[in-house]
Amino acid sequence: MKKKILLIDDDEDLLRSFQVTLENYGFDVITGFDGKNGFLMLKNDKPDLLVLDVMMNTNLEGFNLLHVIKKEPEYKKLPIIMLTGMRDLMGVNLYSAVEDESLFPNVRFQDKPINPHYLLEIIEEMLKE
Amino acid sequence: MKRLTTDNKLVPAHIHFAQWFIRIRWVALFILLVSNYVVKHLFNISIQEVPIYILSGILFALNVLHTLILKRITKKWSSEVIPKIKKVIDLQILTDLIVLTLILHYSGGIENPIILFYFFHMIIASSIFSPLKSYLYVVFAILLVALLALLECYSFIPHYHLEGFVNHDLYKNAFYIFGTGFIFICTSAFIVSLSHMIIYRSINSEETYVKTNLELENKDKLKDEYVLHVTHDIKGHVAAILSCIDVIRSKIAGPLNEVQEEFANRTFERTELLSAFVKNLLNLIEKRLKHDNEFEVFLFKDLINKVVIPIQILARDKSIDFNINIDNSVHMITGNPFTIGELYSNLLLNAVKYTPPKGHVELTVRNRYNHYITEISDSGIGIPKEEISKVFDEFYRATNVPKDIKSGSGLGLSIVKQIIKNHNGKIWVSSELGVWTKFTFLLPKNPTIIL
Repeated sequence: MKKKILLIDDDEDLLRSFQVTLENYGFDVITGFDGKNGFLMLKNDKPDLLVLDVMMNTNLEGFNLLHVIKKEPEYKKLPIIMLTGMRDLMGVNLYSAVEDESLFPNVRFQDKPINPHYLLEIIEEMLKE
Repeated sequence: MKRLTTDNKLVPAHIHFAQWFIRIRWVALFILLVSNYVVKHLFNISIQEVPIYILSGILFALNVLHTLILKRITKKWSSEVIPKIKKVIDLQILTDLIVLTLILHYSGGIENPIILFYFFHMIIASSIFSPLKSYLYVVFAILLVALLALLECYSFIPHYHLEGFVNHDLYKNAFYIFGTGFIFICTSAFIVSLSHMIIYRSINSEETYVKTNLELENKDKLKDEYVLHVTHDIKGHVAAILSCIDVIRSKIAGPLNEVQEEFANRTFERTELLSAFVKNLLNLIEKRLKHDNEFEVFLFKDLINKVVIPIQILARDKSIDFNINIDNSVHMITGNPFTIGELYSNLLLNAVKYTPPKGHVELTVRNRYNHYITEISDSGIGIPKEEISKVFDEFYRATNVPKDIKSGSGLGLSIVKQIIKNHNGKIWVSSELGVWTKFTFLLPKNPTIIL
């Protein structure tokens, strides 16, 4: 059965390039453009993995969404990949915050820019776990 | 006046001034006590010893009060400190003048040459305060003296004559009083005008200087943050371009003919270079925004051994002989492990990059008392003599770099310089064009200890 991936990013060009690459490798891809819209799609379409951009319309929109998602027990096991352009955002080291397994289980942090094929590798890795 | 720096902010002259004023009062107090005793008992001049001891006591208490007030104000730096200090100096001058007049009263009034001390306070006032305020102080001083002289002259208050010192009737001589009084007033006016012109201007400009400095610091911070956001946006665009071009290049969307493939590749490679450039620029700015560096104690040797691994691979691919010599006694260091790692990476990558195949690169780290000395040398293209001092400049690229060496961002060495600076180290470079280059740098084992 085809695995479903939800991509949430406000950069449409990036979104499309990921989508084309992932679809070519046999994934089912749906896309969201901001926190609210993305959360709705998560509820309705029930993807197997989420790729989430940290900085969207507002500075920590992605990060806040991550909080909201991981609060719910049904999403505790959902693999999430966080993409960020700035490693050290506003003095807060997001890496150390996200790598707390008890707070955010099954979440990985990835720097932008990222090669779509490398993203593919990480996705396959996380889906295997 | 010496300037101290606390937390990178300038301590204005006003604080030094207030402290000096208090200190000199201790000296004056001491002289007052000693001369009080000496004049009465050694020279047998009829000075009113007891009242003057009492006044000395009052002066002592006042000076202690001034010290405490000043300490409380200068505990925390804020933009209100300077006006508060001015108030403190106000208090000191006012109380001084009153105490001086009283001392004068009990030691002969206008017979006593101490009257000159009023000028001292006038100079101080005109150095710190605006012309209007300093003239007000002058008027106040003149009033005090005039009051004293006239009240004694017309017997409203007793006159304590200095027997054995000066002519009896001077204090009753109206001509003398008004004559000297006039000269006193003129001299005061001249003094204030003069000191105001010389001293006030310089202290005032320091006040403006400190204010301007703070403003510039803030503006610089805002500019840095703006640039940070712009660079982040640029990064985003570059990332999107890379991603899109990669979709075409990887032929997922379909096969490419030769020309299409060629240009897809060119676009991709140029954009990758741009991406690296922006990344370095962002790093440089981030470093400048961070004023405090997170230092920790860590195993220096382990870090270096980790950093050299990718370099060894690169060197092997290029058939370059890479030698590593680390003293056995190289152990712990206090610093920022990430930036120190970056420091070694940058320099070693440069060495490998600018050395032709079959050349050699050498890394030596030695333990020297309070420092570690590192030498990174290569048998590469070298640096022209005139350009050696410029290589650490941001974006500088030496003129002898051949076109086929893939261009980097030009920021590597300026980042290196910044890292060394943050660790209180030193770096220098020597080279022979076309033959060799050597970078030598010192890293203190503990940069937080000021040596």
